[in-house]
Amino acid sequence: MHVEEQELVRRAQAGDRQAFDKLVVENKDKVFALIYRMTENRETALDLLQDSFLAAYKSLKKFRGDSGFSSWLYRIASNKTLNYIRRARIIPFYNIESGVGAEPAYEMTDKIENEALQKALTGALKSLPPQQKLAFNLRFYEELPFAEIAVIMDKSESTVKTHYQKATEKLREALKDFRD
Amino acid sequence: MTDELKNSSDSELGKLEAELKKLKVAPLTQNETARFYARLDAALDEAATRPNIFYRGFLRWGAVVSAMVVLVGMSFITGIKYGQNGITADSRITSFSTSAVDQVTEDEELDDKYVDMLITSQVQSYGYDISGDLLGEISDDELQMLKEAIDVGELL
Repeated sequence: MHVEEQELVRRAQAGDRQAFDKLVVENKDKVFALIYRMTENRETALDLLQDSFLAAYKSLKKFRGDSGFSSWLYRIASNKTLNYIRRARIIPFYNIESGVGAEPAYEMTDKIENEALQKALTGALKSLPPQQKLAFNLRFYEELPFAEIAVIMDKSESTVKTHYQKATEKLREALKDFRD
Repeated sequence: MTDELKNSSDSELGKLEAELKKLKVAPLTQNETARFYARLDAALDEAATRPNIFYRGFLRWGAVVSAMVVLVGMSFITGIKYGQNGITADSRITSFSTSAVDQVTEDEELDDKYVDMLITSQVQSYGYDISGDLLGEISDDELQMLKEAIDVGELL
């Protein structure tokens, strides 16, 4: 945790709302991205984002600074999201052939060379079990080390690696039909 | 970075990573950001001004708990009063019959004395006048009519 973030956390813990607001501004986009990759619904992701920051605010005094503030936030958001998925019993469904999804999950920033491949990968991502998906997203997209992901997910490092490995295998499987 | 994918010589993995990296989450729009801040601010304001859990608990359950305390207190005081000034007729009967039975050990049979005591106490508790006649309320004329109408033998 950098000094500036530490200072913001200390002030927020002392009841400074402006300091907390600044922490929100600095972290909201990456937390939103993580939740959205898990739920694939923007409104749900917004709700969970709000819940996560509210929970963080309420338990701010319990934060001891053992990990970075963003890791702590990721942990809160991950728990909220996994609980939501469990409660809602979201069943990943994606028809690879027709590319039918509830809504476009991602914004494609680059020109897509192979639309069918993108659809297959999106479908494979959607169909990953929640724990595997979380481990994959934290590692691949958020680029966090396994040790930190283990703390966020409250699992052992080897369990996290297994989740990530399995997720990768499933994504490679989706690529199988597109081999040259 | 994800070494497992990035450093792999496997072109398949490189392709996989390249494609996956294209899947960027669209950032929050201005509208979404404004809604998020508004809702979070409202929730944080509420959390900040909300009384603590004990006070909220008191507001919610205070009346019920107070009423229960008053009731328990009243029953406690009443219990002391009875204890000091003697007991009611009903409880006197109960205590009598209980004490009568208590005097009989398991090895003893209930003799006539105890049976009489028990019957007396039970009859008293149900409000019968043991000395009263079953037909005490009937007038002489009515009694005569009954004698004529019904063959009661030696009963009357």
